[in-house]
Amino acid sequence: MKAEERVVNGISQMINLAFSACETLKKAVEDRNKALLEDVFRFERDGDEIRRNITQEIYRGAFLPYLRPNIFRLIETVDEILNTAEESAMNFQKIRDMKFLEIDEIYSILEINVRICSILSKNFSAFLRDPERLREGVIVVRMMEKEADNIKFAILEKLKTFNVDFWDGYFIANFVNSLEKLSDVAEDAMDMLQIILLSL
Amino acid sequence: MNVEEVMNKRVEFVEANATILDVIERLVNRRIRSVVVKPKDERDTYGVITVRDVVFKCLAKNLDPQKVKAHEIASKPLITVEKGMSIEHVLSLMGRFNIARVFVKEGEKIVGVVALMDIMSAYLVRRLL
Repeated sequence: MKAEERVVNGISQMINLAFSACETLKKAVEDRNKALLEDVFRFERDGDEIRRNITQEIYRGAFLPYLRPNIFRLIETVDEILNTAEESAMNFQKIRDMKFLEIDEIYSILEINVRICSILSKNFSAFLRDPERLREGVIVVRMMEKEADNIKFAILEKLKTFNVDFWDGYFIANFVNSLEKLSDVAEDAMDMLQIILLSL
Repeated sequence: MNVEEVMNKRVEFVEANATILDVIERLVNRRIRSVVVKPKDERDTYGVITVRDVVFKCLAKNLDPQKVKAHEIASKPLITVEKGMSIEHVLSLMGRFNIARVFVKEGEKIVGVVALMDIMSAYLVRRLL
């Protein structure tokens, strides 16, 4: 297998891990099952290992030099999706008062994150081959990110009516912010992919 | 594809006597495009106010948004659909009534809204999943 193929496969694996992390996070929140969060942490660690391997491939000479910085930025962005999923899981783990889960919109934003990662994961190789399909993907992810952003504001408005102690409030706010950040970073990954394709 | 898969659960309600300024505040703070107006009394029905209603029926007529009440400019009746209805059916309804959104009912409760934007997004997502 060529070095370039190994890099592309590695990125694809990282995207699949990001999808699994979002899906597991959603299930952990829906079931209020904090034990599942350990899987999210594991996905993040696995992602780090893949990132290190593909970084070495690039260092050893995969891809033409002018493409390497953008490929590297894509890898870093996909890694950030995993880091953000881990951040969400860490914050959720620390919340004691789960009353805020009465807010329906939290499940909507989790669902949006799963869908965005699913689009990325199912279409990654198609996106690399077909710029028009990627263009469509970018539009869809942008719309979904905007919706996630709107939902976050609705959640924050509703959260104002909840009476929780300082630390729960702190972790709930961080949890909601990181949920929204997930879709934001995924959108960055799509943009990065588009830049790479344009530069080919 | 049915309504439940596409609908947006973020539905906001205002009292019939709320001012248009209250409505504008709600639209801006919650980043939504419409609010449902509750019935004034038992004989009244639910209505809807969109950004279009606020502009055309209040602001463009130089009416004071602090004085005009929600029930005075709300469009009625509210067009509602059931959660299990197909999107094709909803689209034909929207086309027939020339409306951009329908509200989703579960029993007597309004639980969601389906706007043309939601349908466009759902169709595009479906092509990629």
